[in-house]
Amino acid sequence: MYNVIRRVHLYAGLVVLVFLMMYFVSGYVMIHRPWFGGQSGKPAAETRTESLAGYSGARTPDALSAYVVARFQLHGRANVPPPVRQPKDAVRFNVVRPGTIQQVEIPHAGDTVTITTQRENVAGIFVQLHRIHGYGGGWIWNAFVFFNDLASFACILFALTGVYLWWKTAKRKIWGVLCLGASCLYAAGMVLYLLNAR
Amino acid sequence: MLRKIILNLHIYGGLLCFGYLIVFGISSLNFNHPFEFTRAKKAPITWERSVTLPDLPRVTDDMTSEQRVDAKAEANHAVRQALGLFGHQRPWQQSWWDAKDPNHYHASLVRPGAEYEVDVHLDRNLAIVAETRTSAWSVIGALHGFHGAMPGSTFASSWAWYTELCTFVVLFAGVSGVYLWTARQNERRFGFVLLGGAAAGSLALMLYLTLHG
Repeated sequence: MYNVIRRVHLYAGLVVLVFLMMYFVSGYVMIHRPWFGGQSGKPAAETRTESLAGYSGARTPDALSAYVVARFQLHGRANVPPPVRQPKDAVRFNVVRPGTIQQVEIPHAGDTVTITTQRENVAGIFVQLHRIHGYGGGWIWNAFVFFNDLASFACILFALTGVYLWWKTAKRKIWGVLCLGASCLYAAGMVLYLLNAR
Repeated sequence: MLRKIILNLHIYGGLLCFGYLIVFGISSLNFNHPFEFTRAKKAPITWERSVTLPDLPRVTDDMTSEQRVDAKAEANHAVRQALGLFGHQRPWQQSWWDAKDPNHYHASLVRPGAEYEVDVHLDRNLAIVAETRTSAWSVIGALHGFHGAMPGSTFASSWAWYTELCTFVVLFAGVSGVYLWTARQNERRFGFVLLGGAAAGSLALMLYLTLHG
């Protein structure tokens, strides 16, 4: 049993190592963004206006976004707000990939589309890598999110298997009990405090 | 000797971050799988408390939008302190002075676990609070990215330090784990194949999404 758990701990670590490192590094960049250049060093946004003449499909956000993404070869994952969250005078959505945000606006009046492309600095690329959540957008995006799921599950696995391995190997358990007890009390205490405190 | 020190840091650092890893793991999974029951909120409850806030900052027509936000932020903090609450305040459209009743101010406060919509009636020295409690899932999710100070609570603010500590512990655990594994003679070949394949795949995914999308 011990060897099985040890191998699970080890092999899970080797599989998710790069993703887990990326998440903790990018998370650190996120919470201390000013230390990593903040919003500086980003190139100016580029805006272009294109013609939508010839489009005869539905004027719904989903149909328009699918058409614009394909016609103007916008690379990334489209985030299309539902009709109730769209402005009254236009259809708006964005197409995002780490490092690049393309904001698209299609006014209801007229046959044009405005595409504003904002490129990020290095810190921004990390932040956007960190913020990729949820399945959808094609198999590459799904593979990334699957690795995210694996890394998330591995965090729980490392914690549980790590406790087992420590318990089985430590001759003097007092320091481990103190560390584990402090950690559990603090985290559980924080959750209970936030749930119950006025 | 060095190996033993690194092993001990790996073990005891990991034990110290046990709670954080569980919170981080659950919240990350929840971000990808936001089941409806994890977003549930309890029905708001309303309570009242007498407050005295004679100098609550006001917004005026000649203020810029930034000055308005600053004034409402200051007013919200004063309301929070008067009520003995902790949390952040929302100074944008969520907070406002009543255009028809100069004695009525609405403050919006939020923190992991609770949201407060407060109607302050200066002429009656009264605050009416609509309090909405969120679920444990929501609290765990909020702790995921929670950093910085939480106004009104030193204890809640201390989570930021725990996040700092655990970030470095996890980074160290990753590097030290590889070091400890490579020092062992057995399991190296399979481990290298696993590490190499997974690392190449992970980096390729990140690069592809960044460069191509």
